Amino acid sequence: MAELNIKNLVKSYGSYTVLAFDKWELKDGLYWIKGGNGTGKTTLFKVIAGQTPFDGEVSINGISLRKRPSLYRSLLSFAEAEPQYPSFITGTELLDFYCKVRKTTRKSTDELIEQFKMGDSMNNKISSYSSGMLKKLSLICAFTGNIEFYLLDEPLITIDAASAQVLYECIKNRRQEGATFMISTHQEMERTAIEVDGTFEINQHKLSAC
Amino acid sequence: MLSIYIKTLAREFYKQHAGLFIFLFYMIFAAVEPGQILSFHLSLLIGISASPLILGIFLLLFTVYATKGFLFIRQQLRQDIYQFIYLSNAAQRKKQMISWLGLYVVVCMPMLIYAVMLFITATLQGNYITILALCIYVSGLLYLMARLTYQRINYQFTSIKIPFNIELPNIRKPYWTWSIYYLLKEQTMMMLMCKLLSLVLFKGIIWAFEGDVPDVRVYMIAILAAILSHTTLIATVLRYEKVNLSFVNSLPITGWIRLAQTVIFFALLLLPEFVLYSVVSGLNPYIIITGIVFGISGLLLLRISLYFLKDDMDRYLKFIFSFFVIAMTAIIFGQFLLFSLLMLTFVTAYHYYLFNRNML
Repeated sequence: MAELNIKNLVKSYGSYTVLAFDKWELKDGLYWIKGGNGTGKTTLFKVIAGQTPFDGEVSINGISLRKRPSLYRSLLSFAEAEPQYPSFITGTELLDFYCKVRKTTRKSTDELIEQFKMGDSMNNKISSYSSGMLKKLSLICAFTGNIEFYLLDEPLITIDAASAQVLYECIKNRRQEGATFMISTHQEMERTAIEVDGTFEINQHKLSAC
Repeated sequence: MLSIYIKTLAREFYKQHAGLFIFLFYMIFAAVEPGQILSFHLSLLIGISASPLILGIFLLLFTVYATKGFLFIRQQLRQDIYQFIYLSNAAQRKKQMISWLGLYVVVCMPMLIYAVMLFITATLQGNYITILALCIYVSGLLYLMARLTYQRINYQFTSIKIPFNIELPNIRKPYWTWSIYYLLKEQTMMMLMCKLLSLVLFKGIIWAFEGDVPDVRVYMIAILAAILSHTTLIATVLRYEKVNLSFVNSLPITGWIRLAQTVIFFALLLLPEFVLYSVVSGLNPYIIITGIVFGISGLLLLRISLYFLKDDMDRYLKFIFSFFVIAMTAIIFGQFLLFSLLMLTFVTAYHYYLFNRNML
């Protein structure tokens, strides 16, 4: 069970303010973040993931990103919309790194690799991956370890229909284990097999419930 | 076309190599007593003009510099922001070649100025073989670089065999090796040229300034030259980390571990210089440790300055200049250890501060 708490958030690029809101709380559940292009969905995800500077306070289960960054980061997993990794390493090497950082065994990822049908490519260099394979690798990495809070930014882009079904299953399983999800996608979530607990839309720098 | 190449590619080249130019300018002009500058350079020019061996060394240095410039331009042309330059392939071949030739003349300007002075000296001395060799070699080199760039811009659809593709052993690569692996694998020529330049400067300074009594300050100036030779490499690695290793920022890795990994990376990067330094300094433990601390803390400061200046090359240039002046002053007054410790303290504090503010 994970709770996200954001206070007095302001995120600007130069003089352009992308996000500005006083308070936002997410209880345990699965949430869909909507918004048109350039409204700040990815920026919000990067703020929560601790990947970009911002003003304000963000915490998960009362653990502040600013005060205890390492512990905070051990609670969340962020799968980027367009993942980029060093091209000269193999999928296995990247996954080994994730396993080590998240203190889990490689064996625990075998099922994920099999489900996403990546077994044959894991020992190949990332430079040989297609964009769909790269996305699947990023999803495998995201689901590695026992994570309480998942940030999935456009998880459905570039993956095939079969992989999308695997993703839905992974999300459902982790939800049953008590994980919280924030998902941004331009797809209609009602058409997917995922049960959504709440929908928010970013508009004019602010988040509002739909 | 030429003006846009100069405003973008050549400008970027001079900005990123500012540290090196400042250092070379200092070594060529400020290191010689003011009253002897003219006679020193005149003797040097006459020496180059008269001796085929010294002329060969000069042309070799010219080639090293030109190759560095060529590789820099090639690397820039791979970036997304310079994709618009590929539009120039719609222009006439002659116009394209003149523009690329013009760009390389601007990039090689410091060496060309010296080459022109050498040309005048050789003419006055009547060394016509030197004039001929100089003209053929320099114009040939400039043409070759322009031609290769033209080929790259116009024939993207043909596969290119990479001449220096180092096949590294296929072993598991732990995270802390990824940056050095990136340089070896994807920036091979840039890395080789950087190390070559750094080692040539390092050895050159030791050779030029070492007296009968060993002076630790000479070794420190040599280390400073090695640091300034790496300014572009640091910016390149940082940009790679910002794009390809950004995912690490959402993983639970403490600021101290990140700092330790960076220190290991820089220690590996300067390993050849440190080995050479240890040998020339007579394996004195105090001098060795001081040099290593100075070298690593200098590189760390340059890296952190890029964060602090938000990767703004204009401000990086000014910072490098200030760093050079302060570092030289500290070395001349024998305060290099204190300066190194101050740099380390600043870097550690700023690194920790940045990490907590999610900048790294």
